[in-house]
Amino acid sequence: MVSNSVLSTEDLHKAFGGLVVAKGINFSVLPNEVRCIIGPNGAGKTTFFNLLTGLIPIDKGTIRLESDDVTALPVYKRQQMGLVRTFQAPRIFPELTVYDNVLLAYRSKESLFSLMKQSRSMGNATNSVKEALEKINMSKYTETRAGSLSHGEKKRVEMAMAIVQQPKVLLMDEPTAGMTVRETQEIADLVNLIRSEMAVVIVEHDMEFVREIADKITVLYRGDIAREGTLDELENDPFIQEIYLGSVEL
Amino acid sequence: MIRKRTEHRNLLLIIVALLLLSGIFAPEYQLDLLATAVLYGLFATSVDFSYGYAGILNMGSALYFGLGAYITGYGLKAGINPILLILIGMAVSVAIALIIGYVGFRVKASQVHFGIIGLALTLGFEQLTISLYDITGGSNGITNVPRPTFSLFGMEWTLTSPTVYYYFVICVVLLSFFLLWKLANSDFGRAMLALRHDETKMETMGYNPLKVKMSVTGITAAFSALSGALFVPISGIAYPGLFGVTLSMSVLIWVALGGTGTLIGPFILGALLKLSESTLSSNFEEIYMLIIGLIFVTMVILAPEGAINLLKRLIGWFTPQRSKNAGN
Repeated sequence: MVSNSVLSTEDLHKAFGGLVVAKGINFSVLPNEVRCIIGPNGAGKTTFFNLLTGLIPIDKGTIRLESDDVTALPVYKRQQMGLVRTFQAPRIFPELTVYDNVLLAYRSKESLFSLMKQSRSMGNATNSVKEALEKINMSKYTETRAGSLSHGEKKRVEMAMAIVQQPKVLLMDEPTAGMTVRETQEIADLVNLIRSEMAVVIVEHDMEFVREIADKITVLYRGDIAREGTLDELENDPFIQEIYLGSVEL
Repeated sequence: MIRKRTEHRNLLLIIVALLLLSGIFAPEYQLDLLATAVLYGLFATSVDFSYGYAGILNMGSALYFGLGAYITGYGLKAGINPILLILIGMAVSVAIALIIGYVGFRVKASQVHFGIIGLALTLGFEQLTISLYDITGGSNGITNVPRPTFSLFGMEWTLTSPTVYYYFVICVVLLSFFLLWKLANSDFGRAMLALRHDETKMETMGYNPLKVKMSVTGITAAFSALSGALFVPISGIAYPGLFGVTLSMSVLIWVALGGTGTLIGPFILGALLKLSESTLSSNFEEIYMLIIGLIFVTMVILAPEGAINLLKRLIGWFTPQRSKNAGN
């Protein structure tokens, strides 16, 4: 286990009855690293994210955020400590405006009493929200009802909601799924923009996107890490080709 | 659904004006009826706050209304300061609501199951008040509850006159409505809406769903108890039926028919239906409940989104189109 990692797991185990989805995963990410997790469908990539964030409890093992053991902490506590995620299908609040979606994310660390007092810290909040919206090119949609946005726009709003919380680690689950070529490039630009502020772990299938942004790649297969390395190291690995049925060029 | 704050605000101003003028022009014997209607309107608003915004269905919210009524009724007969009684009633209701909320939300009871928990408790309290005859008067309830007089800020306040008590109730109700309105339109209100839509997402954003839900439930309990506490000096009696299923279900119907998540819709409908019920029961004693039922059915057909939204549509038909750049 790398001692200066920002996110790490030790011997992570999880099974659903007879189906083992995590077989003693040892995983670590360095600060400001962009790590891509790839693997065939059913490898356990999204499940791994759910285990990291606490949406699914683990059977055995340890999860650390920096030096803090977060294994037993509830989901919201892990987020408050800096572990933030986005979802494969964008999850935003359609009844609220884009601005309010991001503002709600920004104010998540405040007390409920503080939320009741609408005007408090609005100066800092407004600036942070606007900054996050500018990063994802959604500034002109500030007062738009989030439910009326396109799929790609909703994904970008969800990303703004994540980055405005200034996480230590941002987990992004297939951020380019359903995106156009132009939108995918914008996501790549965004990741390159925020990488100086946080570590980013991305589950992806788009290998061109992975090629552009990844410092290191983790290949998950049947609930375990099959390989790790740079794209150049993995490109000609016969095992990797085989688990993708020999049909994918990395 | 983004709340049309300006339209609701204008409607609220009209209602405030009507209520204030009623105190001047309406006969005294009708002021008690109006005050009662307004209190039931506040009760409906408090329930809409939790159901319409946070999606918390409580089928036993009359529990808090009844607690407020009984504590105030008992205390007024004992000569205790009514302000203190109101605060005690609200505090007790909040405490019970937090306990129920902690138990129900912690085990992640479904919306229906949580509603049934509330229903069971309100039935239990109804039976409890019947059985504790020495304290609660049993089936008869606490009768001959006087109108309050008390000292506050070095002044004597005498609320025995229907007109004075009416204005007292109006002031408290309007202040309460304003507070609920502000909360609903704050970031806390938006957090409630978000929680209703996607609790898991809220949790991954760092919100503790248990805390949010318990806060909402506590706030609803407080204002429900306040409604009950102010009601009992008008009726002169706190009776077991105030805990009953009928009132609990009625308020949910007012919320649904008034327009969930609008606050003002349930307030207006709750007040109007209470007024109608009183008028109809006087003139059509045997069939007034049938008439009320028919009104409900008609409203469901004509205004499935609630009376307030029907009203907005009607206003929209009769007023010139403004800019379409108003969101949704």
